[in-house]
Amino acid sequence: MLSIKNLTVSIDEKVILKDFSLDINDGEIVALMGPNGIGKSTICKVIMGDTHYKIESGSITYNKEDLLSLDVVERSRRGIYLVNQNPIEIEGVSNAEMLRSALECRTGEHTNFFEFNKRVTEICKRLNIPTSFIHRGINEGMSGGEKKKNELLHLYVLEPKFIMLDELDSGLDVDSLRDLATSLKEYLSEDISILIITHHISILEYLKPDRVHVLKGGKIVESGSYDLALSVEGNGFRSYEVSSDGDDE
Amino acid sequence: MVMMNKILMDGNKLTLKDYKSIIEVSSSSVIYILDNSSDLTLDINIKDNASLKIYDFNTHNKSSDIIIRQGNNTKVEYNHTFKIDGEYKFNYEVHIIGDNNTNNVNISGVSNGLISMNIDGNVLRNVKNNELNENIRILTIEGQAFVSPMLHISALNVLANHNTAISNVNEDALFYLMSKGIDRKQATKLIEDSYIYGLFKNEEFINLIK
Repeated sequence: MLSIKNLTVSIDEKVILKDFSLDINDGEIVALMGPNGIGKSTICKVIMGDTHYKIESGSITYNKEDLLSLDVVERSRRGIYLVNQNPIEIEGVSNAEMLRSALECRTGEHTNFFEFNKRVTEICKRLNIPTSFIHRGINEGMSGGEKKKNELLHLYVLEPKFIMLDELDSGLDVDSLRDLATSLKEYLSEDISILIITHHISILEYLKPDRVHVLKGGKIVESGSYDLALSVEGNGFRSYEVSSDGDDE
Repeated sequence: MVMMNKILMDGNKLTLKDYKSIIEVSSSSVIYILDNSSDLTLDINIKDNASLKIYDFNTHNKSSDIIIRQGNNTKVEYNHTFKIDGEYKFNYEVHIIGDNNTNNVNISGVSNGLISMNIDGNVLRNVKNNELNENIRILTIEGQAFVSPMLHISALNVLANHNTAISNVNEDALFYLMSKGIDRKQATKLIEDSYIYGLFKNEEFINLIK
């Protein structure tokens, strides 16, 4: 279980999140909605351990462990995984090299080359991804949809327990989004949680969230069920008021 | 006076042992230069309708001086990767003296020392349909790199591109790799290796240098 309590975060002396709290139980799908530039992606980056952000106050615990005391590597090894809105391209580092390194760093053991190739090939087939992806540079020269598929390939190999999807739906056509959402649903089990960051309902139609929160002014201003997302789609974000101490961007 | 060995290449694959050579290329040929510990001086003439690919890998501190002359209807691809801890002086000159030639230079490497590179492209007056492409990327971890590209184009009908990127380890790339559970040291090594090995698509050469 992930628990964020009264978190205030700033960057370059500008407060992005203010007294932000959120709990996500094992097996839950939670959606965080909000307009552009409101700090939704900041939450993902802070949970992942991006040191560009300054934690002013508050706490984040994951399975009762203080997450803020761990670096990004330790957080990843505990099963936390971020699918970025626009995954970075790393020229010359292949998916295979990266994934083998990740597995070896986690286990401290040498990866069996044959077993690794067999497993990744099976995952590619399952995700309907060309096996040539394995030897391509990380997201190198890939379209938006291919990058997201590539991140899903990494996810299936690394088997995280807490997944953050930062605007997974951006840059994806309807078919690609449905395929990715279907693959994610197949991955889910009762101990895997997902935090979906979005400002559209499209992804939520496929990955029905247990709870929906609206973020504005650096904190959650409205919470509800999937119906809240439907309401947001119909009425927009302007109808959600920010309290006087809120500091909207 | 330095004595230069003369090599005639006619469709050969050569792993260079003598690092001071005059090479005449008369058909499709490949040269592998593997981690030489002495200074490199190559004077290469590409005869009409010939092509040459060079794969040059270097981890020693030294100097390289490569001069290439291209006649008519020739193609040269020079691929160079390196990892240097000390001082490295590199000079590459291409002289296009005829028509319908292509010269592609791909350089990628890691500097932990001091690297100084001169890359000169020269195209004579009154020649036509020639193309020069220079792509250079250098990762400076603890060192420095200076690249001086010069294109002396005297002809009108030339396509010339030059691209140089000198950078430190990209912190965003490092964070991305670490977010997959790879520790900082290994993540840095992956990025470093991408500069050293990532350029070469030639599996045979990668196996040789590894």
